[in-house]
Amino acid sequence: MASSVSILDDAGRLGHVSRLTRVRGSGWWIWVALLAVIVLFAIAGNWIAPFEHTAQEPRAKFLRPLESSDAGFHLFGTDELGRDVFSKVIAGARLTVFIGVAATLIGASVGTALGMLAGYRGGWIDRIVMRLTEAQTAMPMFLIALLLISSLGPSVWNLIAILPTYIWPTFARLIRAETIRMRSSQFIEAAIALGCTTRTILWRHLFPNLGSRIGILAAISVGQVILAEAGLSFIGAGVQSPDVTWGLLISGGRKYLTVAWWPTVFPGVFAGITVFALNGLARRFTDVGRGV
Amino acid sequence: MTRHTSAVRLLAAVAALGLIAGACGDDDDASIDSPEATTGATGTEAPSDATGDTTAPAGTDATESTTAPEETDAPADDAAPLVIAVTTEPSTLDAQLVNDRNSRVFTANIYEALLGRNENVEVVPLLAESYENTSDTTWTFTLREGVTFHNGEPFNAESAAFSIQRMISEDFDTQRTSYIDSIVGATAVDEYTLEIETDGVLATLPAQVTQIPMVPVEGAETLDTEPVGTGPYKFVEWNTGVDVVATRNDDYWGDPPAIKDFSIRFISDNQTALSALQAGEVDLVVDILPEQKDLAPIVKSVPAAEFSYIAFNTYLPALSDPRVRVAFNMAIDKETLADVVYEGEARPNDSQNLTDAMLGYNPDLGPIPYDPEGARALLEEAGYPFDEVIELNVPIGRYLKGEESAEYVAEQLRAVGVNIEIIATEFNTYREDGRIPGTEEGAMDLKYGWNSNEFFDGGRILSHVTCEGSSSKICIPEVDELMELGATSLDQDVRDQAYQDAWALLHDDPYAIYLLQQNLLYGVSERLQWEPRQDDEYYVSTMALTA
Amino acid sequence: MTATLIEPTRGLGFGARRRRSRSRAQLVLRRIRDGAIVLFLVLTAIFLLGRLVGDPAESLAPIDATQEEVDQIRANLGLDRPLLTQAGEYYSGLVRGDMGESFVIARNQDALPLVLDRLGATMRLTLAGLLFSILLGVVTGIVAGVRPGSLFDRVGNFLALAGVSFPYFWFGQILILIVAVNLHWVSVLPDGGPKSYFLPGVTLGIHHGGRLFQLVRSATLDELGKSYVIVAESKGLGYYAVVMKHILRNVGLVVMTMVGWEYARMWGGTVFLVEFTFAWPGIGKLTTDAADFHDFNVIQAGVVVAGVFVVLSNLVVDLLATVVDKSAEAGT
Repeated sequence: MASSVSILDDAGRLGHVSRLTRVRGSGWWIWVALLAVIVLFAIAGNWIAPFEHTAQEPRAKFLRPLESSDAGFHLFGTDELGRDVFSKVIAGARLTVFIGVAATLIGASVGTALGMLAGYRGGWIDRIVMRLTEAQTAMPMFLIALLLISSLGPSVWNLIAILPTYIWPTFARLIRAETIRMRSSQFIEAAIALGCTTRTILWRHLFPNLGSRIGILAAISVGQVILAEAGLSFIGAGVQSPDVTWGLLISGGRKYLTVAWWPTVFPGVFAGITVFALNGLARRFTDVGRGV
Repeated sequence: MTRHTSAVRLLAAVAALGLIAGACGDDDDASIDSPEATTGATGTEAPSDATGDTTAPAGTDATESTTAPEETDAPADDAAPLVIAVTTEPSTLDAQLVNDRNSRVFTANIYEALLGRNENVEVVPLLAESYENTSDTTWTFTLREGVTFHNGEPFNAESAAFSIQRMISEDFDTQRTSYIDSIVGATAVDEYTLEIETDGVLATLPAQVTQIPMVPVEGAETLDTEPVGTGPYKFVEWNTGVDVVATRNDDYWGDPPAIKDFSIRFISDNQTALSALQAGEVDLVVDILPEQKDLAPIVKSVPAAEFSYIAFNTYLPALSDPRVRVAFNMAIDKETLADVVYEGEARPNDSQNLTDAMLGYNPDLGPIPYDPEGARALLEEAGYPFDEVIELNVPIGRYLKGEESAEYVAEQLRAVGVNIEIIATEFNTYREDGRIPGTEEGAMDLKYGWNSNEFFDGGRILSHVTCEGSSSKICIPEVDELMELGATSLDQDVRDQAYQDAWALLHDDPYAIYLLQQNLLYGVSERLQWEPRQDDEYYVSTMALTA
Repeated sequence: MTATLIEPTRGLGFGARRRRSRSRAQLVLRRIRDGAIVLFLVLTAIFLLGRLVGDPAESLAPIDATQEEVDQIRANLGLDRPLLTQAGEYYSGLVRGDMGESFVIARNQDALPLVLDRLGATMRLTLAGLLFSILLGVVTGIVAGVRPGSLFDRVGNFLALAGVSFPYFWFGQILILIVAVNLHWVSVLPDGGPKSYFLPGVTLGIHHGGRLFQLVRSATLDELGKSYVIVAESKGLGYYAVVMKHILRNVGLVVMTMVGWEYARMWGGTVFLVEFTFAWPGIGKLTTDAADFHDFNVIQAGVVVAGVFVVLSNLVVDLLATVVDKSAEAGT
């Protein structure tokens, strides 16, 4: 029996994560709590943030974390124009999460549809889809994204159009393998015998059974997209000011790193924790789902 | 699954891969290691003896050429080469083509023009021995004899005429167009006599000539990658992505420079450059951040002929009323910008792109005072459309703290109700788009930039403020007349007064938000002797290294 | 299904599974053919994406450019000709090594030689990254897999997950700050000898090593659960003898494959971002610089070279696996 479940990488390839680990037992609620906080930031950031993230106070520039200015207390300190870093990080959560979720939805939809089709139909469709996933996986996506952004101009929507290419092949492969496995199962054979149309079988019978796998993969994918977006924004080919994402904040604080580490470090910590929690949770549910 | 024997071979293969990696790591040291070997980690605590130094070197003989070395001690040829760090690799080493600092740092040491500037930025003869204005539109230059290019070609009137024609040719598309656009031709009269034709009386011709590097006829096609000039240093090699190297030209016509070899290193990240400076791997870092002053072994700073501004498109209905533009000026707290954002390495300029040492400076003008309430009232009085979005354009990474300045200004304009949005673009795009005059589609509403006054003269910024100026977004006929008078009169007092009057008009009917006079700020190693110049030039022949 | 560790993820050799009795030579040829097809698809995608998605001429031209100027740029780029003609030019250019000239960042110089000039720097960095990935990921992964649930395993799992979850370029920044700026014992300049490979190499190693740890650990775990191990133990062989003799050998092929994948992934993007972070004068730095100026031909040449290396790395792994592992196809 397949003992492994995917952890996926930004080139979209499946690797192995082991099944049995009594080790990672009880900590899953920490991941959930962390993600809940991030989602809260993304949704209700405006009400939570202590300051407007663009509000300047030049005379209070580069306050260290936990210091206060005339305007108030700065949990994560202030940046080069005296803007509150904590408020910037909260503001960055919204677009970061939005891009992660939107690109994942697109990539997951495309990958799942192709994977089901390839797995169910087989034959030349299968071969074409598999070749495409191989070619996609062999693409130097970071530089291709750079090429496209250089032609199209950087914008949030262009990013959302490009980032799904990082993840769809993984969905296609995993869903294809699962479809092939399930196709020979009794309930599908029964459905075929009952004369259900292919479409009905795919959507009514197969798809619901793939739900948990898709969910787990999607969690990991959101993390991958967040990292890819951060990388592109870091080199200036991603989100542009006045939009804010964590990747852009890391890049923005870069030139002052020797003077003040906090404007760079905190956005990175948040990006990392978010992806960490998504991966951790995915692994946790993988274990539970496999009943180990 | 796997059989044992094969797996062993594979592990061996993996291990071998690791060995290759290790071996490759060693490949480089032969070529590059030397700088760090000479200096250990120099402490960061060395007091910056020149911090805030605001004087231009004074009392130097005005006729002394720019390339005369300050030190005439026996050159320490065995010293490690001088290394200057710049942020960007030049796109070409053809000095006639480009004018950005990252190229000039190198090319200004390779090429020379007929005229140059000394430490006090006064125009002095270089490859020309003398020059005179022989008619309204003709200038005659007598050239220095016995000068040869690095490729052995003799320098004479023919090569000088060739150089000028090459640069003013329309196909050539030099970045220095705005410096030389009044020159229409050059001819060799005899071996060492050259005539330059202008399209009218041109008081700033000598200043313009300093912007025309002399190039050889032979090999002009390959100057992009194999620069050839007459200067004190000659090109050695260009290691793409790493550095460009030069060595002393032993056949130089002038005094031999003290430093034998130098290289320009491309280090895009300023903190990396600063670390390299601390570690003794580089000697000069151009444009350190004011916040980093404590980190450099020695800091040098010079108030430069660089004036930051935000130009209006006065053809935009919202910005056409002079009261609106005065109000924008009043809305900005320039003192705080200079003292806090720039940590004192700048000061509000006197609402003109001139310092008091320059011809045309108007002593009656000063910074427009900060008064947000007054600005708001004035905007309301002028019927300013507060809901209209005004775009403020700023180039990415081009000017020291340029993006921050734009954000700072935008926030203060928002505070008086102006609906402003920042557009940050790559410098190349910005430069092209910034040239679009206000009368045309696509002109920038507001454009942040630094006006460098290479002419040290009121005539320099014509292209920004005259109706027909190549990137002008304003038209005030009286200013045009005064600027015309200043440019075409050869009487310095008349010129001075004309520019003063023009700036007085531009004070009440501003073409820009006048921001700061900027300092140039350098991190310098302890062994390098050098004083920064107002004109943002870097002549290695004026530098020396102590043991 | 344990031996399909490679299969579902690769898809290569799809047909091979059905017809089992192939000679090794045939398999090798098939791998090469598949690699060539993938390379062709990748190169074609680069061509199509570059021309159909955006308009390089428009992005290269100034905003106020007249239609004539844009047309001129388009003509210079060869974009005014029919797509098929352009495709012909593109492929024949690839074969001849001619990918057009740089417009901005290195005026009038051919794009491909500019990129190939930087190949050595990128190559050395990928190898340094590989070394650190192996150091950080492989041995630790085996140890953790042999002792699941131990403190070492837990800490390793946590660190590996952090390594793959936190943005590696951000780690690179922190490393610069801590090690180079404050400690001065490694060079911060990209070509300061062997020392300069340390920080970017470790940055790559944190990311890829984290992934290798996870992969190697689970491969080891799988191997431990196999019947021959239990048999060997029951025969009274000591635990460590079993580990050393059998598991390491059997995990070897899997590990090599995984290391190969990670190497391909570096060329897929991570090494270029690390180059940008450390101002390393390789292909990634060149290409990101070129992107600032919309220097289309240079970016395209960089993408092509990177794509070739991704495909080649994968192919080499596949070939090694095919040649070395006699049972690679029979494991289904």
